[in-house]
Amino acid sequence: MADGFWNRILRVDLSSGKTWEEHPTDEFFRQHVGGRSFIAHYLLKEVSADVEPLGPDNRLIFMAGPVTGAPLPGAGRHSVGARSPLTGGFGEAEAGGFWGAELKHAGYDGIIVQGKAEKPVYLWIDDARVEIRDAAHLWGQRTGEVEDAIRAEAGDRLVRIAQAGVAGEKLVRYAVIVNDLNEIAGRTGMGAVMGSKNLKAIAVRGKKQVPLADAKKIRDVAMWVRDTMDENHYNFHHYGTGAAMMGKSLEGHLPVRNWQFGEMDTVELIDAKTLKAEFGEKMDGCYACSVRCKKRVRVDASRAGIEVEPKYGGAEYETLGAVGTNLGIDNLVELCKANQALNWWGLDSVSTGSTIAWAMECYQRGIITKDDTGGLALEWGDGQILNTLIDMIATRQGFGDFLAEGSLAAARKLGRDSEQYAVHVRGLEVAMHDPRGMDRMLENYPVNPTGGDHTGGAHARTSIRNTIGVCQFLAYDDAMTIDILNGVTGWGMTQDELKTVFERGIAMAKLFNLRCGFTAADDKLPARFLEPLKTGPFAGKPLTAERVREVVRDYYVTHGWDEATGTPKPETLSRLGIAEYATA
Amino acid sequence: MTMRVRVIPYAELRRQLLPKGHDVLWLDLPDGTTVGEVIRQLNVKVEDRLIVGLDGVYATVDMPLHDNAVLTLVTPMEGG
Repeated sequence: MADGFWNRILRVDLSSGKTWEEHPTDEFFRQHVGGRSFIAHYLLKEVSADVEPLGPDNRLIFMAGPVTGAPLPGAGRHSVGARSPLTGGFGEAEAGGFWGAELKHAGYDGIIVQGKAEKPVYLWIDDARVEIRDAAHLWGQRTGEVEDAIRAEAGDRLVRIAQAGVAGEKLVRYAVIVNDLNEIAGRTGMGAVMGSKNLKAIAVRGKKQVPLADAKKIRDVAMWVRDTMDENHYNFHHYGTGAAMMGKSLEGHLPVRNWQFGEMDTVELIDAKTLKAEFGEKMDGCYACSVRCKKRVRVDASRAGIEVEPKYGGAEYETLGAVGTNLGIDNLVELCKANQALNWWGLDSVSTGSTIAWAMECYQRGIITKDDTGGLALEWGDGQILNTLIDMIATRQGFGDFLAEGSLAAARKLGRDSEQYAVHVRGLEVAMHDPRGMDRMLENYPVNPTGGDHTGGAHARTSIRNTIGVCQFLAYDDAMTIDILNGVTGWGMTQDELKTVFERGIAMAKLFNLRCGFTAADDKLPARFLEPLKTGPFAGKPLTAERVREVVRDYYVTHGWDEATGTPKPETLSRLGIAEYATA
Repeated sequence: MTMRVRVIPYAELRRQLLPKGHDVLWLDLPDGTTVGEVIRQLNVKVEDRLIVGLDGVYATVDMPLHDNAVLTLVTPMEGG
């Protein structure tokens, strides 16, 4: 067996209460490596087209990569996958923090959960045992309270906990899985799948060291990151994400008021620089990472009405965009409160903000009125309304219950020609990067397996990082990345073989999406991006449907998929060694 | 004749152009100086492209500066 793995996959059936282990071969791990390809393997083998995303037969798959848990900056990543309750297709999200590394230290490469417990439970995993424990006392609690309670029960402050918040319990379709209170497996509704299984949390404590083929190589890379911090990671080290929002505004592609505008002249009030200066307590990091790009903020109750606690982190760029600029909100205190609320309820900031943005634009246009909202005025720029709606969505109260289905489902339910204002790809609200101003996102969103996610990885770099378990923010080039992978595993993998792993993963995810009923017609951008921005350098420069189709067609051809249908060709599947999945 | 221009570098550029703890660089420049000439004079080192704002809107290198102009310098960074 290669180093970097334990060859142990934990299987959990919550319906029967049984747990067992699988021990795939070294060949299996080398073929799929981790993350997406691994998730797609189990979905294709075990989740048929008639499996409901929130039903017991869906699989919830937690997968570390070979590098996860190695003593290396950026090695705190893991992936979570399932059939998505938000899109109905391939669901995948990635997270940092400590949980994935702790899982590896407990001796497991991944966990696959199926079935549904009769009553709320949590899973306990340590070096010696796996237990399904009662979680009745944790149900309905905020994430911070759940973490405190489980750690108190264990008598160990270093237990790492991945949990579905109240939003997951309530089956909000864009509920997340929260790790360490501020590290989020955010996209495609994985928290709702967890909630649907009555699984409140997975608590992990491990003390094993992940075996490394070349420990010196890994140590050298770690030292390189530390010794060249200002040269290679200055921005992330000092500000985290969100320090260049002014730049996006100047260039004219900052998401503003549901993507109607690309500029906001008050953006400086809420960017990472201001956030750190006004409310920053310290910078913090994920497992083994010296970059420490995570802002921790504190806002006194005297200013915010409630205390904003550092343990819930600080808003990242996606949050500052999705619930800030894209709602026209420049009140930093309200955004700090919103970030905390999103993390203690367990909601995806992108889908939450984007669904509210859809509702606000409908309100702006008179499509939604106070008769629909229960008397709420959905005005752009209103941070108090934002925080009210976050609470209502997470607990499915009133108008929040309607928004909890996501922007596309809400638009279809509402009718009134409102679907044109839902900014999504295949049902997943688009991340905060405008393809009208960023070619890289034009080339990503329409073909990305999960839909409108900027990190999911339709392309090699992001996909490979997610697969092997390394953070996107680390300045490792292709040569260093493969050195890291080989330094951990001892495989001696070439760049070509690693690229094949990426090709395999996207082809398998595509096969699952085809199984779920998606077609080439779904590989497109939403109507909003085919309109021009109203002001700024991109005013009068919309994308065209023809341009998007050209990008999609090029992607299909490049990857050996049928030019018209997007189906991976039989010869492509054979070349990738995954022909068996075509009919699986 | 000279004009006074305020340069505000962000994040990594602040480290390059200013002493620790400072936010703003004041420049006295001859009339007619353009955005591009200031950038060249500052010798800004960027791996990716440089985004420049003049008085809060996107600026191109051939734009002339004026007295009390505000020049904003940002490099792109994403994620999170």
